[in-house]
Amino acid sequence: MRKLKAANWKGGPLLAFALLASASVAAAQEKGCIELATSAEVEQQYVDEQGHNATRLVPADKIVPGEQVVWTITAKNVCDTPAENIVIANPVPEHMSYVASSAMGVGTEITFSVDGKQFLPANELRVTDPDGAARVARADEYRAIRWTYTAPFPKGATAFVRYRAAVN
Amino acid sequence: MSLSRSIAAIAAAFALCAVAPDAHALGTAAGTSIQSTAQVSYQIGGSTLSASSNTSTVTVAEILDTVITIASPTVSADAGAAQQELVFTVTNTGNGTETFELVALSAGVGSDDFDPELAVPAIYFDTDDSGDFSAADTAYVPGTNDPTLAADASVRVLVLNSIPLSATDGSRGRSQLTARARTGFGDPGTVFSGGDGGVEAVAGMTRAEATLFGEYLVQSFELTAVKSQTFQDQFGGTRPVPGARINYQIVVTPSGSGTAVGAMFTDLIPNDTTYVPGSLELNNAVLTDAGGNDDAGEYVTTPAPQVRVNLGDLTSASGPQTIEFAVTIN
Repeated sequence: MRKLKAANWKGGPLLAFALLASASVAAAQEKGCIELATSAEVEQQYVDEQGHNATRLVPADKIVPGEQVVWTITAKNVCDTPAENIVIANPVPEHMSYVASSAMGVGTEITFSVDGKQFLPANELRVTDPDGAARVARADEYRAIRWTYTAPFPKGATAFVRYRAAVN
Repeated sequence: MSLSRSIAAIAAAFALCAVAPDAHALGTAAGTSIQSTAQVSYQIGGSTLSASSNTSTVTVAEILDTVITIASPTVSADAGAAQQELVFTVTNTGNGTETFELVALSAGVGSDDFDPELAVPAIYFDTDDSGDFSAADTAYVPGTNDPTLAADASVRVLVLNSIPLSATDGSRGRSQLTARARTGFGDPGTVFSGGDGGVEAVAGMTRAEATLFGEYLVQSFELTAVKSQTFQDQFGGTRPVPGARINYQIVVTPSGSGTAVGAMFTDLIPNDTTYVPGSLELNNAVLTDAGGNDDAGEYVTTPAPQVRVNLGDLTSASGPQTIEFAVTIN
């Protein structure tokens, strides 16, 4: 049972259910244990109650070229059992460019990819120019970001990761 | 005495460098949906599972921006000249298709020396793409044929003015063109409804309007000619009798600013006289009678007997040009 792979589970939930020894684990797998939510916000300057200039995030209802969107991905463990080896991945959306050094996530190791396959830390990610010269990839060349949690999520735990991307 | 001058092509003396803003906005098109979906993989009790988030969508609003450039910031014009054009280009640097209102103004534009007078109508599209005002060009009528430009598209626009007769040599008069987005214009970030495909429109850094002036530089260049003659008869006197010689002297004086490009002096040999071969001189230097490129002068018999001297490009700095030739009375 422990060898059951995600691909099998996704391809045939009913079959997976029939093979499961533990009904509770099966139920958890059917609805999933990690609930994931994505939201898009933009920074807004305002004056707070003390009269200080401050910044807050508001929903991105309209954006224009050059403007930065703050993407936030929230993960919550809704099961009774701990979730381990949690990896969140997000392609940089089409028509957008990742903003350098903007990815954050408490308790994660962050890697990037220019092809969606190989993920490496920013300073190790290299691309090859048409003339054959290799160099470190620019932030606007990243096509995907991956956050790898170093610790399990206990029951009910919530965490979020975040990055910015500018509209091309 | 006929003095033909070719000062039609007065070169613009002031080659100003126009520092034009970047006229290209490479932006994602208005109305584009940007979508993002995150994935997560994890393990529960040794089983690897995965899930996707909701898909979050943001729509790109229309950004309203425009830039105007001018072909020549300063153009030469004669006092009293009508329909003198300034050639502007209006570019939509926003990310959507936008219609622009155009406004021309000549009164009180900056610190100039005189006000050009806007023609009626004052604004034309360069319909035939000739780069100057011509019969095929279409007049602009506000609200009727406002230019509608796709993102990064541009249109060439001519603003026509007449130059007051009172404008003095070397004085400058300005005329400006303004383009404003019909959807709205104002401080950067100002939001308007009615963007492409129903999205909201936002004024960009140009405030969705642009204004640029051009300048007319009055160049009242003049060539004046003074002709005198002396008689020399074959009897040692000065009587105009048959066989007597007439020595002509013509002094051509350039004045004012500007350049007479390729000024050509021609003078017909009077009736009942005969040109004295080899008598043509420019500034006391003898010129040959032959044509071609041997020197600046020539004597020709068709269509009528005449002397011709190519004076070249003349400016007031060139000083007076003295031409001499002789004829004998038949």
